[in-house]
Amino acid sequence: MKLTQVKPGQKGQVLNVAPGHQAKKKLYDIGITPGVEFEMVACHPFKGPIVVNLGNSRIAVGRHLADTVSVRLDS
Amino acid sequence: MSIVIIGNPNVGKSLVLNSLTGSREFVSNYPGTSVEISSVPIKIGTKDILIYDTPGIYSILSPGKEPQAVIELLEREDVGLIVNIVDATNLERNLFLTLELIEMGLPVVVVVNQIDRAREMGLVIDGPMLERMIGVPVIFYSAITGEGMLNLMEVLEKNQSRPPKRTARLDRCASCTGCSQAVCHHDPDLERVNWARDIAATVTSRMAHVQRIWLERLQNLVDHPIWGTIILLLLAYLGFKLLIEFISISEGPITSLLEPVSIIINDFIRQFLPAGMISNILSVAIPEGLIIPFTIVLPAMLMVSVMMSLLEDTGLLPRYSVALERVGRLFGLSGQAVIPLTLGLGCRTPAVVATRILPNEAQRFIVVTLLSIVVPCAATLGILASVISSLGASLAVIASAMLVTFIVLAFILSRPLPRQDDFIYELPPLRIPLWNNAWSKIKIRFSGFFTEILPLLLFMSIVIRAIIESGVLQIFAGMDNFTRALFGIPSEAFVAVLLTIFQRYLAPLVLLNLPLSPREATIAIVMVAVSLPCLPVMVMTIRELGFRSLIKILAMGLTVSFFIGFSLNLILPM
Repeated sequence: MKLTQVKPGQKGQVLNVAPGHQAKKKLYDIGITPGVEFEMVACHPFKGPIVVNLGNSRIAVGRHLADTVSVRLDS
Repeated sequence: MSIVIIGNPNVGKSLVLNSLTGSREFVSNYPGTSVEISSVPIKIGTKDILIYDTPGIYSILSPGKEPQAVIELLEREDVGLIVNIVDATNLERNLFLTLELIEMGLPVVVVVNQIDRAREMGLVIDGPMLERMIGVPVIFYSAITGEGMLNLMEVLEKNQSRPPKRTARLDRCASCTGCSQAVCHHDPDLERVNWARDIAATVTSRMAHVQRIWLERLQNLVDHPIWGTIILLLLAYLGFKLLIEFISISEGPITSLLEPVSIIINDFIRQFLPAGMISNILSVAIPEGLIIPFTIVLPAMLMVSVMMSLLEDTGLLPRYSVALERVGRLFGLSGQAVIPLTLGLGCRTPAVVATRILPNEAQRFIVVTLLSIVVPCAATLGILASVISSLGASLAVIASAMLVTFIVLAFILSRPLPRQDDFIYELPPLRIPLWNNAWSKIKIRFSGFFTEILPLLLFMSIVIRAIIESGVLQIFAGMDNFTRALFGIPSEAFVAVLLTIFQRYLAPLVLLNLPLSPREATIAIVMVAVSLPCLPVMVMTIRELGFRSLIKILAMGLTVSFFIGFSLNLILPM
């Protein structure tokens, strides 16, 4: 599933990031990389950014960019 | 030989540099504030060494100006040592850059910063193990408690006696020899990511969590999509009110305090210089140029400096860009643009300073242009309101003309910019502002007042007074046919428009004395309202964006003003 489909409070793991060099690099840089554990903190309404916790850092990502990230939820 | 400080955004690079050098460098709890590379000379042992502070980067290979600037610095300078600052609470991501730096073959020392915060959060990091795994010296550091400072000094001292190594380049594809496959399966980035994760997991262990609970709760509230947005907007509104109140309360006492000075200067010039044009110009312009900075610019600059420094240091600022992202997107700007634009409705001078929160120069230019040309400040609104009511001009036409101009101008100006689709921000943990940090930021923001603002305002004030007194504008007085054909207003009104372009507060004086019909008044008022910024804003623009940007903005302002006058003349019924 996509990162944008995750609900606040849910936890999971990033599976992969769709190619597209610049955008992918940006996500990698800030820590959204395959294998990383995350927790969804907030989804801003009206297609606003989503906020996730990665380890001890908190990251806000635009919907467009978050759509390129596939994830798996913790069962 | 030199030392280069490199690290992720928001890991406290500048704080480390500060505690090393005692210099007043820009520190910030906001990703991406130090865009330029700054250097500070320090004495280590017996040698003078230059320390470079670089903009925060996540990776040497990232696209964008900052990593490029760092690479160029590393290739250009004789680098004796890279001091890589990493955030102790975020090793996994920070070590990614560390691995890149080590791979480049330059001598690296890793400074694990904010170790005090990590301990507060219950993180225990095995330093010797980290050293063994990455093969370079590791120092635990806290700029707040002073831990690790002596160790770092020692390493710097030892290092300068070693012969510097040659700069090596980092291969984008570390082990690739250039394959011909369409899709490359080898991903050095991913390899480094995994490696960094393994190292971080091995050296870090978690103890009981002892972070300040209330701050965490507050942070969760502020990051809530609805409550957070409401809180942020409420805070912004309070700040806005405070700013306006502060300016209006302080204006009276400052003016009455400086009024005698102004009269003395005026008298002095009139006595000293022979009566004539020059005396007329200087006797008005010099007191004005000396007083305006203190009555309007000083309180505004001071208050905005304080508020912005606090917003930055608490970590609230990036949260505004998240909350306002959708509004900014409407204009093709990032969310923070909403802050200076709203501020401009109160007073545009501090708003121009506040554009510093925008992520790049291009956006700053757009916001300053919008502020200068269309956004009416409280004073402008008051003046316009008085003229509108007494001349019977159409408020609806004036308001919608300004709104349309704003939207069209924002749309046109933001066209060449890349869309803000790749919105991504790190939200730093909320913290109680460190007074030292906030204070040094306030000082830096405020520093230019006496050295730049005061002389510039004086100079500009003289220039403008000279233009008005010289009678150049009167050339248009005899061109009634011309101005009526183009803008539908009599030539006297056009001269008034030109005059008020330079000094908007003259508008009521000049326009009210003319026998204008409501239609003429409407057009003339719009042309005044949508034109050029006031003098303090011009000076601020020069200071913040440079003289060339000001010229561009002035040219655009005149064009827009004339174009709107012309269009309204075509559209409005006689």
